[in-house]
Order: sequence, then C-alpha cells, then structure tokens
Amino acid sequence: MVLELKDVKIHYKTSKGMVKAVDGVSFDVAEKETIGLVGESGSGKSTLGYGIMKLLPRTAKVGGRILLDGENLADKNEKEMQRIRGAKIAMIFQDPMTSLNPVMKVRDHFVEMIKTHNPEMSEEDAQKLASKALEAVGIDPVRMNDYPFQFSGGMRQRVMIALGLVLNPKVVIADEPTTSLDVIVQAQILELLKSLKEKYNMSMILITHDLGVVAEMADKIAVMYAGHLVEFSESEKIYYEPKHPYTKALLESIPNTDINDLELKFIPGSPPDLVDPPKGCRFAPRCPMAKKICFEKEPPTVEVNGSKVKCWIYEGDNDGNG
Amino acid sequence: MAMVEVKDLKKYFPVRRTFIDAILGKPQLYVKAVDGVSFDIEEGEVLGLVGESGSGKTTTGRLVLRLIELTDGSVKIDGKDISKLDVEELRRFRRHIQLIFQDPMASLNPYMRIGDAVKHPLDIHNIGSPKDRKRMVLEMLERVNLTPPDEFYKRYPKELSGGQRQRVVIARALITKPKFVVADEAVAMLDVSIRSQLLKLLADLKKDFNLTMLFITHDLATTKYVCDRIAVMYLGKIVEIGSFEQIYRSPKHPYTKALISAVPEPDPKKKKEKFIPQGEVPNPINPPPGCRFHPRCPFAKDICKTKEPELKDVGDGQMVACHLY
Amino acid sequence: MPEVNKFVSSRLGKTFKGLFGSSTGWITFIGLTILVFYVILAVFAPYLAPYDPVKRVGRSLQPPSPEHRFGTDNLGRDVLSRVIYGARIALVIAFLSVAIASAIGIPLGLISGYIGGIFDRTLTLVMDAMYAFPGLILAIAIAALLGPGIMNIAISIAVVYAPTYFRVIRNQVTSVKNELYVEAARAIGARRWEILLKYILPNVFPSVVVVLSMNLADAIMTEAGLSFLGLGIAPPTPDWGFDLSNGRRFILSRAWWALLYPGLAIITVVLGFSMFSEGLNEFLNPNVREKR
Repeated sequence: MVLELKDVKIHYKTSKGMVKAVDGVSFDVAEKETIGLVGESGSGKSTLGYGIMKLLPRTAKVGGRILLDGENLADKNEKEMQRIRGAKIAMIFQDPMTSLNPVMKVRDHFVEMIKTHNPEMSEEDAQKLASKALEAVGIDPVRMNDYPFQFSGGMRQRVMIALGLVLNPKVVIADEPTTSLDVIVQAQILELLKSLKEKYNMSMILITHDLGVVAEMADKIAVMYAGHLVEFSESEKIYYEPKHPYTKALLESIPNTDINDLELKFIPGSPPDLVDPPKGCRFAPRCPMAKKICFEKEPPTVEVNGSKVKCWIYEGDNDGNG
Repeated sequence: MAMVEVKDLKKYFPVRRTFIDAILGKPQLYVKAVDGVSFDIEEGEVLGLVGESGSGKTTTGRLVLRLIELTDGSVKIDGKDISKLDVEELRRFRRHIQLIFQDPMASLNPYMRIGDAVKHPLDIHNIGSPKDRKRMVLEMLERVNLTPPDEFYKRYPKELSGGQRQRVVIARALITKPKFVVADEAVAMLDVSIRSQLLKLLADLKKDFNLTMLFITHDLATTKYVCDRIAVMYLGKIVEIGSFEQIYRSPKHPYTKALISAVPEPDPKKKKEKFIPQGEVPNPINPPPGCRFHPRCPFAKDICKTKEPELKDVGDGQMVACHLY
Repeated sequence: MPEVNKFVSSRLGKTFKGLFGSSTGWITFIGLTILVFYVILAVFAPYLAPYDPVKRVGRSLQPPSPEHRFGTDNLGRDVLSRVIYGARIALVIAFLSVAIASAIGIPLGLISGYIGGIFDRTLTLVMDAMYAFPGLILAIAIAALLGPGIMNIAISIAVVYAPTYFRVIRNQVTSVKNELYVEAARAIGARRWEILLKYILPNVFPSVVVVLSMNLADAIMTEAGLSFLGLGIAPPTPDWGFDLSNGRRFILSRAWWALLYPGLAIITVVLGFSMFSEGLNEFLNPNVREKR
C-alpha cells in the first residue's frame, strides 16, 4: 500500500463550535491505483484531501494516522511536510487561476518547485525537466515563458497537472480538477489524467462531486457523506451493486444522456450541520430505508460482497424493529 | 406568433486599442461574441441554448433581455421590439422579462433579507397592495419549497445554502409572472444531488406557470428534463437546432455529437468510444474562415475551410449548419 | 442562567459576541474601554475636574502633589483639570470634522463611482490632488486662512480627510456596481437611485465605518498638531495639543508633567480609536473574519 488512511479525523474550531468535517475515515490506496473520492459539498472530501497534504488552516486538528509509504504524515511538522509535498505527494487544485501565482512565469513556477526539493540541481536541468513535463501534458515547452493569464482555463489546468507531476510523486491528489471547465475540455483533461497515470506509475485520489467523472477513471470509489465514509468498493460494484442507500440515491440523481430515462430522481433535503450532526447514521434523516436504530446509533462499517458499507441494513434484523 | 422572436442577433465588443495603436491607425478589432443568431420560442416552450464558454450563449441571454445593447438584429418579445424601447419603457417592461442567474452566491444582495429581495420586483412595478405583496412573496417562497416561508422571509442570503439561494433567485424571477425568463446556467454551480432537485423544481414550475424560457447551459445532460427544443452554439453562431429528441437521438453536427459524447458516464462498462475534438474554442476576434468548427472537426472537407455553412433543414424542422448534410 | 442565555441570543447579545467573541476580541474591548473613559471625562468634566482649568489655582510649575495630582503649568493652572477638559475639545473636533468630511466625501464618492465617465475622472483628479498634498500642511494652510475656532479647525481637518472617504467609497462602488446582484437589480427593473441606495450603499458602508473610526484617531492627532503650532483653539481653552507645545518650553526646567500628561492623553485616545476600529473592521467585514 502506498497510502493508508487509518481512522482519520479532521475537526475544525469555528465560532459556532467544533465542526467534525472528517470523522473516522479509513481506506488504502495501492500502487498505481486510482481512488475516486465522491461526495457533495460539505461531505468532507476536499478537507480530507487537504488534510492528507496537511494544507489545512491552524484551526484544524488532524487525528488518526495517514501513512505514506509507512511514514505517518499526521505527525510531521510543517518543515518536514514541505520536503514531502511535491516530491512524494502532490496536489492538483480545482481552480488553476488562483493556485498559480499571476506575476510568475510558468517557468519560474517549475524552477521554484524543483529547486525546493533538489537545491543542487542546475537551472538548466530544472528547465529540461519542466519541458518534459509540459510536453507530457500537451503544452509546447516554448510557452514556459508565458504568464498564467496567457493560458486558457484548460491549458492552465494542464500546467497545474504538469507542475504536480514534474517530480514524479507517488501519490497525486486531484481536487475537482475539472469542475470549473467546460464539458469538452473536461473530457480532454480526464483523458490526459488517465494516460499520465499509466505513464508516471502513480497512485491518484480523484476528488469530485460528480460520480460520472470518477466512474470513467477510478479503480475504486470512496463515497463520503457528512464526514463519514459510507461506502468503499470497486467502481463497477459501486455502479452495479450500490449497497448504501446514499450511493444508490446519488447514482440515480446524475443527469445522463439516455433519452429513455426521463424521470429525474433526487435526494430530498440537504446534508446535516456538522457542528451538531445527527446522533446515529448521518444520512438517516434523508434515508428512505431508515429504521429506528439508524437514528440512535452510529452504524458500523461492514463488509458485504467485497464492498465496505457503513449502514445498519446489513447488520441483520437485530434492532427489533425490522 | 411566437412569444420570442430573435432575428440575426449580433454583438460585437470592441477590443481596447492602446493609445499608440489608435494613433498609428491600426484597425479597431472586435470580439464577435454573437454573430447572426436567430431563433423563435413559442409561448410555454423552453429552448435550451448549449455551448462551451466563448460560444456566446451568455451574451445571447443578456442581449435578449437587453441587459446589454445589441450591435445588430432584432429581439421581439410578445410582439414588442425591445431594442426600440426607451429607458423608462424598458424599465417598466422588465416585469415581463426576467433572468435567473448562474451564481446564487453573487446574485443576491448580502444586506437584503430574502423576503425583501423577492418582494422588491413587486414594489418596483407596483403590483398589488403592500399587504398582498407580502402574501404573494410567502406563497412564492412556499412554491419553491423554502418552507416554512415566514421563517425564510426574515433570513439573509448568507444563512442559506447554495441550493436554497438558487430557489430564492428563481422565486424573485417568477414573482412578477413574467412572459419570458432567461435561465443562465441556473444549476451549473450546484452539486449533482442539489442540481437534480433544482431541475425538478424548474420542470414543475415550467408546467405550473406555462413558462416561456431560454435555458442556457454548457451541460447537455441538464437540458433533458426541462427543454422542448435545443440550440447548440459554437463561436457566436447556432450550429444546430432541433427538438430535444432529435438532438439526443440523431445529432447531426459533429460539435453536437462531441458535446453529447463528452458528458461523463457513470456506468463503467459503458466506456463508450469517445468523440472528443482536439484543442479548444478559438479566439472570437479572428474566427476561422469557412465553418468555424473546421480546425477541430475530424470530418472537415475542403469546402469547410472556405465556405461558411448555412442552417439547413435536414428533416422535421431539425436545422444544421454543416457541409456534411 | 436563563437571563444570560436570553441575552446571548438577543440581537444586542449577538453584536457583543461578534465584536468581542473573536480571538482578537480583547483588543476591541480595551479600545472601547478607553473610548468610553474619555467620553465620560468629556461629558462630566465639570464634576470630575478638581479645579477650573483656565484659572491660576497654585504656584507656577509645581510638580505633582496631593493638591495637584498632575502638577501645575507655567501659569499655575491645574494640569489634571486641563487634561480632563481637553477631552472635550479633542472629541468634539474629532467627531465634527469626521462628520463634515464624510458628509462631503460619501455622497460624492457614491455618485462619482456609480456614474463614472468624465464626471468621475474630473472629480477623482481633484480629490487625488488634494490627497497628494501632505495632510497637516493642507490643514495648516486652511486653518491659517480661516482663523481659530472650533468650527474652523473642524473644517480644515475635514478638508484633509474628505478625499479619503471619496476614494474609499468610489473604489468600492466601482467594484460593487459590477457585482451580479447589482445587475440582478437592473434586471428586475429597479430605478437608478434604488440601485444606489438599496444595493450599493449597504455593501460599501462597512468599509466607511472602519475608515471613519480610524479617521477619528487621525483627526485628534491633526487637531493636536494644529494647536501645537498655535493654529488651533484660542488660549486659554484647555487643549491637549496646545498644552503639549506650551509644556515643551519648560522641559528644560525639568517640568516634565506639563508635557507628559497631555501627551499621554493624546496617545491613549488615539490608541483607543485604533484598537476599536481594528475590531470593528473584523466585525463588519465578514471576509476578514472568515479568513481564519
């Protein structure tokens, strides 16, 4: 396993109280594997991504263990993390406009990044490395001398991806990399990520709210709801045999292009407030199959046909309410 | 007579020249954001306008509501040519034409309570007595499922979630019972599950209010539930227009096919052969000659590079601008 | 404890929590305490001051003693009483000048920013020219022209600060008027003045309040500066700036008290305003607040 998350908890201190943004999430990422991390806004999926990178504000507390190649990132201080970030684990951000420095040329972004990790490398070698990475994402290396604003949205995202891959990290976390892009450009970027993943032999965590996006490229899918990991399984199993009622509802609510499927299903209500989440299962108030116990006790994570599910349905009818 | 008639609509934005360029007599360049767009929308009909950023779809939406001035062409709503109205006439006419914005976070005044925001159009256009207005607002809030309405009436936008704010924006647009509504990427900024809730709401409201609507979106998959017809735009022009069944079942234009194929598919076994054009939408200051899509089109012939295709009927009212047909 | 809970959930309670509840709440609290202290001094000066501030009540330049806690000045006046009465002039001029400055700057900024075009260009140029002038020198010139007196001092300070309001408001308006909710107001058919008053003004107001509270501190400094230079209130009216300059002449005679106490008063009241405006800024600008 390249990356192991064991009972990861991320709690924020806010003026309203403790927000339990991520509350006990565990899963593993194997080598060359792509995990799709899916959830709505407020599910904690992005917080988890930032938490693995340790890029959270100081008001956040990270608990549990985040093992990257056996090293626990949760214990590392900022200085140690700086050496790990970019080299061993990289992040591709949602909005490439705000995550690239507008007054720095693309070349300087690369040089700075490379030199942080390899101070002895010459400027020339660094540029060669950068050219290679840019070529890999389909950008003419000549454009290294341009500023970020001279690129279109899709091209900027390609620059971000190249920047993430230039040091050949083991794990790449992509946080909604295509959300701010048009459909066709989104499809292009997804194709690109797919091909790069093979070329660079890396593992990837693809964070998105769109199940359609991950289904095309993830090996496994982790579904998060209100800070909990509610289902974790292979992509095909998630689609063909969704176990958790939330996963089922989420799948049904995706608009598709099948003209014979005109009935629009949706999940009523909205996700809970994480300062004061529901006592039992956090999905229970919106769940069509909720039983008495669902409102009282947090469900355990059980294994059903190779899928991990956090739901009471699969615990037999021992709640006396059936 | 159609409720909305748009004829040969054009909008050219001048590109800023530097002072020196102007002195040297360099020609004034224009961004041809919308370059000859025509369509009709019948009463109670919803036309989907689909395209990527840079296609001119949002500019078209602003033009038909005259939020920006058109360069050429005409827009008639309910028989009235809105480009001929003076400032005060236009302001009064706005009760009949409304806009649902893309970004619900930014389109509500953060210092105005929800109730006041929804009520304001009634105040402006002097509809009903002050007592009636409050009742109308409460009814409308209830209709868009912001319940209990009197609770939401008092709240500020920041106390609402994105989906709830979008409901407020919809309520504000519909409170004057407009004849024509433009929805500009009304669900684009929302999460999938919330998006479906909102689409359902719009589909229901369409029936209840017999809405005439222009539904602008970049995501073809969202048009299915609300649109009767679909127009596809590319670089300032409509390349295909037809009923939603025609567009879904037998898309003709290569660009339309690309848009359909680009929609992410949640079924991992349906890893369909994707048809994704290379490159991105070119610069509208200097669009390609001939068919504007030809540099990215795998089926491009010689004629596509020189002659601009006209919109032609390819059967049952489906119109395509492509030399392949 | 139900009383406490009721208070916390009330509107006033929420304001309290917003102002003092953050991690820097203590700064706001200290600032406000200082301000309240000086306001009380100013309002109740006749009851708090032990002596008449303009009369000779002892021997000249007496060091602090039980009769004269802050000592006496060169004319034998009680320094403590002069400091207490001085709060009146300082606060009155500060509030008056800020009121005049904002009465000029805010409407002009609003209109200029919203209308734009040549009107905006011209007005911005004029205001920038005024702004470019060193503040104190401009105030001195105007004060010299108008002559002494509370109103005149307030006007000369106001002229210095009006461009600040103008610029802050105008810049805010030019960005706010491009916000989607302003276009939304246009789309529902709102009139121009409605857009200006209902959609733009409330959104630029918070930054004005902050500038206002910071300017109060500046105004006190400027007023003290003018008085220090002899362009302020006509003596013998108690005034911190004047007393400061007066006391400076006797520093060589080791009469530090005539200089120290008016100086301390100026420093603390300015500090009070600054600290309070800091907290106010955080409270009124939710963006600043939410950024951790």
